Amino acid sequence: MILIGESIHIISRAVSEAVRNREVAPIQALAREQAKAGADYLDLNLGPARREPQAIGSWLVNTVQEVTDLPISLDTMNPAAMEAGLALCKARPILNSASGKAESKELMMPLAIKYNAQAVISVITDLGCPPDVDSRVESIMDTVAYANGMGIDSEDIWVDPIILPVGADQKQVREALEFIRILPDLLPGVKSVVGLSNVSNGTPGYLRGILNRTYLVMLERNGLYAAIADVLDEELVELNSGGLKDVRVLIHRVMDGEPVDAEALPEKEKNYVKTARVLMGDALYSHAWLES
Amino acid sequence: MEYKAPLETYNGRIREVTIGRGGKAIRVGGGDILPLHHFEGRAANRPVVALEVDDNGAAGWAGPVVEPFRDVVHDPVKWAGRCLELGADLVCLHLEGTDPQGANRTAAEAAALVKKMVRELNSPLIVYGCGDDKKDVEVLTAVAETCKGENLLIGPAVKENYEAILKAVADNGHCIIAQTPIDINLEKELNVKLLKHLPQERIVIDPLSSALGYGMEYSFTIMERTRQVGVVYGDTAMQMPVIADLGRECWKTNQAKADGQQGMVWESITAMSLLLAGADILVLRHPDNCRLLKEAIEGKL
Repeated sequence: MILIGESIHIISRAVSEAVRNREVAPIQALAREQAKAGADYLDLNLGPARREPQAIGSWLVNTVQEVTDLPISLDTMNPAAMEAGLALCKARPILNSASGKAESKELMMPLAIKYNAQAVISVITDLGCPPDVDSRVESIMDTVAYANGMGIDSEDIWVDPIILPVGADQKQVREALEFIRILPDLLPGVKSVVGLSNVSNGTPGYLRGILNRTYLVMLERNGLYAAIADVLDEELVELNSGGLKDVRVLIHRVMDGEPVDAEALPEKEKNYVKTARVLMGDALYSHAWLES
Repeated sequence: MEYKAPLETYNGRIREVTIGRGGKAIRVGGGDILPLHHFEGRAANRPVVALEVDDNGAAGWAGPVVEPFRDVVHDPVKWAGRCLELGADLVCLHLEGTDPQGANRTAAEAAALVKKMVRELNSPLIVYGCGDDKKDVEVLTAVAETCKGENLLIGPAVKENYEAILKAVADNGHCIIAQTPIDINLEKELNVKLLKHLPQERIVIDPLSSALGYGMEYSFTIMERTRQVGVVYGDTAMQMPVIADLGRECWKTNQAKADGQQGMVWESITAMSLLLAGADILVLRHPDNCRLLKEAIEGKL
């Protein structure tokens, strides 16, 4: 699976300070670290970029390109920042993201054409995030048809089902998983991508990794093409490159509803099984899910 | 062809919690059905109705709920006795008088009162602290130690203070009330922590009860889901009985304060709803509503 490094994210205090003060060192360090860890793309998340959107968009893209040749996924809802950044990308970039919102269709999608970018297109519409598989399907069919009509090829579209935190709405975790499974039948040719770490948003920090990693294995099995993820999590990268076979098999068995005696397993495997059960919705989530 | 009702059977079983001791002990929970689904299986015990007693002279209570107890509100033991005479299955004592923001009575005073009440009443007792999580540790620890072996139902144990209260309850032979703020995930987390030290049979879940018009539907949903997760999905961390401490919530609404008759309706409708959602213990303030709910529970309405 393609991994898009998530660490250059405006929500991180270090990143937001570096961007504000135009300090290249912290940003370039993160770019190098993620490249070394095995990222295929680097996500540059600028957030809304309300102040000086063009200046920030171009500064960040240039700063990162000084130290790496990795292609960029430019992540902002601000069309001005997006355009300034896309214009400077050397390798073919990803526009992250467009959606079914009227504003996005009008302002974001044309940028993908203008700068020959691939485009993440999410299931969000002006009505918000669709609550189940059927409504996600309905929304994405419309939006992709619109993008195709505008001249964006399906092969250049990366569909994002929107991952919600397991602690906020446990049912949605499985809805997104199912959506990824059926996507190739609905829209042949399109790719898929998720913001993986969102699944563990709100979970205590030291417990986030295992949720992210387990969900990665589950999504990959259902055919996910790419994930914006924490590539600095070594075990995540190892799982993504086919390592930890026994863990992967256990997670698959939980997905298939096969009986697994978690208590008989070593600690690490047991924790993966418990986590898979929570993500499948077989067990009610709580922050203490590994303790019960 | 003979008609056969499509009945469900479930994997999970709600545990039975015993409050009090000897012949007067009360059992709640038990059974393997969704609330009131008597056609699908067995409910070991009917829900019970408690009346609330306050150690602070009914300060802040609305007129209609003070009226039946006007002559005894300054004597919580007599007040509790009256509740039993008026038909309550058991008494729920709220130690509001220990609140540091109010009368700030000491832990020792509160413990002495509870001990006197247990002795004179000879009936199972629910004891709630004032809700200040630091003061509750002092007060509930003293209550648990002073009344060692009486098998009280003591709470609330919350995320911030459960460790100390859990220890006092476990060491002194009582049951604990696990309270969380209307959130199924936090509820399970606290239960998981408590279950490391206490069996299911000594824990009662308080998911917090909101009054009609003030979020009752949230409380309803959480109680309903608690029971579904425990019974239908067999989640062992969610198989304990539920307490709905709702009287105080209803009688502090603007509607109840404005009009006593409205307060009666508010309390009875909230109680009836949470009964349907799966509450095993209902805590009310007005004896007439206590009678009404007991009639409903006994199937006489």
